[in-house]
Amino acid sequence: MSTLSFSARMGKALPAKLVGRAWNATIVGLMTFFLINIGLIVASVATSSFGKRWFNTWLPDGYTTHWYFDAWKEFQLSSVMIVTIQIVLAVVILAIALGVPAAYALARRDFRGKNLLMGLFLLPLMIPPITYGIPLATVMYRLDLAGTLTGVIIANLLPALPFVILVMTPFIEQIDTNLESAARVFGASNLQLFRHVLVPLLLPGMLAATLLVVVRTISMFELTFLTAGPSTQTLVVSLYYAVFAAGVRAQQSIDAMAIVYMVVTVTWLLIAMRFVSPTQLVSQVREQPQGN
Amino acid sequence: MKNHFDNLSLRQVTRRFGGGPGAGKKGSAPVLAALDGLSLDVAKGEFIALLGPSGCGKSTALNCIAGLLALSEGQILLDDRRIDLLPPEERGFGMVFQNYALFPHMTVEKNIGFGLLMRGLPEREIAQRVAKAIDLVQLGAHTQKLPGQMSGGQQQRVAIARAIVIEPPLILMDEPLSNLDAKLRLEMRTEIRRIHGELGRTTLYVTHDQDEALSLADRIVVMKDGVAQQIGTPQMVYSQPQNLAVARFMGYRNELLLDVVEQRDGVGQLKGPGISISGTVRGDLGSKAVAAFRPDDCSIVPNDVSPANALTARVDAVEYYGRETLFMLRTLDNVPLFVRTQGSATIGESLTISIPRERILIYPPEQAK
Amino acid sequence: MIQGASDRPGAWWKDLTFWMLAPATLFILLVFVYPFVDGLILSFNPMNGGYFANYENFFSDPRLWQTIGTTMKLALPATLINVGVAIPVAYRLRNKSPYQKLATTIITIPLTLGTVLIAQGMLSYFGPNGWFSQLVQWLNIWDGPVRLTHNYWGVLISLVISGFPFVFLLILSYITGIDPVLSRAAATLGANPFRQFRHIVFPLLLPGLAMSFALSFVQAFSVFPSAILLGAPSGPTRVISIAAYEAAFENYDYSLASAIAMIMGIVQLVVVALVLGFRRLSYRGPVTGGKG
Repeated sequence: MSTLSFSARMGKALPAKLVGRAWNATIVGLMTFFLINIGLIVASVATSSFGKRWFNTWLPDGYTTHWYFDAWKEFQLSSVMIVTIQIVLAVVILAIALGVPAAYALARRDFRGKNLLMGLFLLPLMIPPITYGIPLATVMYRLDLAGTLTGVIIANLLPALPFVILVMTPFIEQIDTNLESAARVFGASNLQLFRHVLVPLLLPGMLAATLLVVVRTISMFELTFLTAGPSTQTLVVSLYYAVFAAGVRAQQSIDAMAIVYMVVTVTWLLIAMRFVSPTQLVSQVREQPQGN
Repeated sequence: MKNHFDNLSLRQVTRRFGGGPGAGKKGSAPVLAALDGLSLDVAKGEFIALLGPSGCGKSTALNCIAGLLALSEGQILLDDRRIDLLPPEERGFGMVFQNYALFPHMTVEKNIGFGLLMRGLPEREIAQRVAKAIDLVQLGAHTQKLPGQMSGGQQQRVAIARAIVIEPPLILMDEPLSNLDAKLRLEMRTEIRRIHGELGRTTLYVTHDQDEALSLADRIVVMKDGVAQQIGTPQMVYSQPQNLAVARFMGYRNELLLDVVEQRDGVGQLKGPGISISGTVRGDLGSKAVAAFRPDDCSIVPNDVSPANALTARVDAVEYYGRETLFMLRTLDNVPLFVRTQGSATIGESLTISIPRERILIYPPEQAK
Repeated sequence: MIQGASDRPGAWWKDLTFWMLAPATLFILLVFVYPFVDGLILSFNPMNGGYFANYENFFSDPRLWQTIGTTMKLALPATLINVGVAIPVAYRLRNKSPYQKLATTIITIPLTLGTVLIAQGMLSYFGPNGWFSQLVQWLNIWDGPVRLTHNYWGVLISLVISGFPFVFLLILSYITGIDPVLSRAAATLGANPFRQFRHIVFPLLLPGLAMSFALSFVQAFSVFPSAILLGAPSGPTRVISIAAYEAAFENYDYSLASAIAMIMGIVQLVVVALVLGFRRLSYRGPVTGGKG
């Protein structure tokens, strides 16, 4: 091309830069707006939970912590907490115990129908819980499992187990098979191989899977809602009923409970984020290291 | 974008990492200059190789010129016009990447035509020029293939065609052969030389392989730790390395730290236990100096002859290579020594090694960093 | 590799692979596949009428079949907004940096908060006496109270708040999988950032985009708690999951509930199949520029 067209290009460079900047500003602005509103939503609940009386003003008349004690008693949060912890613990342990061996087999073995099996494990993650929750709850009511702790654990295990498999399979695939072969060459038995080679290698992946399952189970509403009874509600389901029946209790009590729930989930989220990347919450696509 | 220029000039081009433009604010780790004050003038049609070990700043230099990295300091001028502030798409240089960076969703034809499409050329002209480029790199049979269906060597040809079809004033190549196997590498090296010969495009070529640099380049820039150590023709760099670092990179594998006996008219005489040699002095010597020489410039002489330029050493190990043998020796000071020559020896035997005076370079010892 | 007997001839019960996969597979079959099949069969055995009575009932009762349209009216715009905004935001955050980690973690928080908490927060923040309404009036943008809860808008906003992070993380994981050197190569060939996106990133992203759209749509289509808490569940936001829930747990007509759940699943499946069918048309190979 000629020198002329080059200078023409130079002339266009300035507006292009401006357009780029404006575009950038729009995106940053949009995100800031989004996040500020989220922040304000949370702040609004928090303010209300500490407010004495708050109606149609910017800020409440005064501040108090008694709504928390109120909520703790009124919503029987201590028993709800215990139930939640029991369910989360059971789900995590079962999901890891069943999921890791399955993931190992899927990562290391080739057999007929493997893709079909992968698809089967993927389905409960792709189909939203409410869709399969209703048939599941129907069956559980018939078997008298609904409302029991076992029933709630089974229901929550349904998305958790495939999730562990899908987190662990790529993780195991990227572990060099030579390490295992080497251990075998040096005479390790299956059990020794498992204890001294596999467990240490798998631990980081299992930690990530565990944390993600904890976060997801605490906030899993639909399945728990459909299968839990009055004595087997988790925190999020209790919160739902409280919000649903708003007006029966003081708004501030519900807000206090919401804050308790939020503190629990966000704490676990932040712990999890120390070990995993946020994208792992929703997908198992392995991230590529950035090239140079 | 101009197709031709007379002079590309880098002036004190510097790039620091560890924070980019706002570096050093957080009191983080000391900012590292990956490229430190590189100055270079490139004439039209020249083939320049940037040579150095990994992490020496050669790729950083190339990315700075391409516009993929911003400079921390310095300027880049094309015929006295500053270009270092332009984004890469406005510089119009062709670049060949180490991993080819072919667009995986486009056919060979589309890949090669991409730059022309971006320039808004009419379809017919794009087709013509792409066809010509495909001929040049001899890929006629593969125009409709996707990159994933081709071998590494073929992919590299596409990458080269894609860079040259836009008729850039300057072609940048970032270790283009390092992903190929040894045989293909030699083949593609010849290919690159042929294309450069046919088109005469100014080329900047980054490599860590001195054979590639020596065989392809008109001039070589030897780099280390972000600093250009020597800029010169292959002959100069090979036979007269500026300093010990360049010498080491050019195959002067043996280094002996010895006492300076005498220095006169650029010739130095050095001495050590069982060693008495003289060679060409480069730099100012103190009481100590390093003699550097290549393994294949040494020869074994019978023990009863005592030539002027010789040393005594004990055989540590012997590796037989067919035409030659590599002897690993130790001097009386226990310094390892490599000799590549014909002949044979048994381990533990004491040998007299002679090196021609003109093949020994004498440098001041390196300052500890 | 842990050795199973499949390397050697032998009975299947000696095969370790089998035993590693069996528990997880059995669980999914029992808890996921069986209830689904059971639900399907149940839906053809209505409380009264012939085999297809439930489906005839659904498509003749406007209070039932209109839920599909109602849900679509929420799910489609929400998905379009989420995907449309997530693409530029994820593209901007594609390069690894501490900034990226912080931004993604913050954007992730609404995802873990869950729909119930978001609903509770929105009731307080967007309610007629909430900060948002007060702010809008204070700024004189709108006269009178702003109604963003207990109607269509409340549900749509909550779908964006909880759905956007999900889509964003999905798309981010796809974008970071695209070799950044490709964009640089395009830049050296004269493509400005916009054209780098259009010609290189977008075509390579398309399959992931289709996947993200499908998953996000399915999530939005199964909107449940927020449609009750934030919407008008008897009218404008009577979504299909509410109809299914009512049938099962208020009218105890598990057969009709199963039929509705099946219809919900089929609508989701159709949309996913359409989107993924479209995905087949685009390039689906590797997204790197050559040998690593």
